[in-house]
Amino acid sequence: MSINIIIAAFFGTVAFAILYDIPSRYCFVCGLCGLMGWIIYSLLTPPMGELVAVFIATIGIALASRFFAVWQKCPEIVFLVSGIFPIVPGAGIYWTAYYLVAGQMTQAADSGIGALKICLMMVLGIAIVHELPQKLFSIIRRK
Amino acid sequence: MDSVTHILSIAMEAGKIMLENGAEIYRVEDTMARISKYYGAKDQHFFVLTNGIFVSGEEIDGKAFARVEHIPVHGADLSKVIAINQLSREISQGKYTLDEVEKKLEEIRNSKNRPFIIQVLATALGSGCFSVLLNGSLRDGICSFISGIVLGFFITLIFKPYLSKISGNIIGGMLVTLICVLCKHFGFADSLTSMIGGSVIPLVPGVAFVNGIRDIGDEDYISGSVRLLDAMLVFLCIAVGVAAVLICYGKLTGGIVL
Repeated sequence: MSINIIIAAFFGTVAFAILYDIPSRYCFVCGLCGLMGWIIYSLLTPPMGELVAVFIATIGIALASRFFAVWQKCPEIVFLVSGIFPIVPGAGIYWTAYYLVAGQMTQAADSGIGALKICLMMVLGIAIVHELPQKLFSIIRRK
Repeated sequence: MDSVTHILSIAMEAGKIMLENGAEIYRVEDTMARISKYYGAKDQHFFVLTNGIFVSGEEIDGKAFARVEHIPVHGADLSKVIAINQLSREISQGKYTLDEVEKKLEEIRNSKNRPFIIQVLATALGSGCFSVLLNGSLRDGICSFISGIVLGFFITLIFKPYLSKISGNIIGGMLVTLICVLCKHFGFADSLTSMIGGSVIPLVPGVAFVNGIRDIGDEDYISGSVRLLDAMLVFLCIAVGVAAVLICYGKLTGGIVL
């Protein structure tokens, strides 16, 4: 992983935090969330496959954003949205539509199902972390 | 003791601002319940969907209070969600009277976004960074940065004030693809795929997408599917814009583009 990519992941996330009007004091933490998610994702993709990598990266981001939310006293959605942005399969979804428009149906089905699987993994990851009791995170804060 | 009507209208106003600016359903319900409970409304019920809030309650003298408000699916301004979250925290600590809350809500509603030029620069930075993330070279990143500046001006000056969601996203997709194709054609860039992938990212509805997932996780199925549908529609529109330009370019030059 080159230094370029790390810088890009951090500033890309910060840019979206700014676009969604997240106050400046949270932007740095948002950038960290995005960077962390991307690092987990790109380290795990070669050995374990993309799906598992997305799943674990989502869990990581969701845990971190819940922790930051308790710590900074603000809604976790702030960190979750910006942190998860780098691994949202935006590219996959619109290549699907591109292949559909271009009439290449096999490729469309292929990338479409791929993107859908990634979305499902994200749903699972977010839902699992969401089920953890709030107390767990308050304890971390009291330490 | 404030009247139930007053309490519930204020709770509703708070919920409306949150919902408009991209908060999850359960958080909206939670905040409204917290506000009305603190000021002593009893027997109130909230039902929140992505594009509507339904509230009913009962006055002390037995009169019914009922209100429905329609809320169009809207952009995202998370600073307002944060502000109201903070406000409801302070309310439950007992810092404000109901009239002060009303003034505060007005303030939050009218709070200004970041200046225009910063939004354009953030769009450009996002485009550039993401095209590097999607395996682009540094040159691709710079080209995406340039198309991001154009896209930023388009979004703030034309898309948001005048265009509908569908036409705005199609034209936005066409615009960035056109710039990327030109860059590639004249040899400034290496990989068209990563360039376009990065450049359209500012149009992608991240908040709607993540919120849709969250809402489904919270068992708010209707709201979640409405939001995901909204996100899918935007994805599809962007793709139509991108594909239109790419296919025209392919036909004009006679070669395979990708």
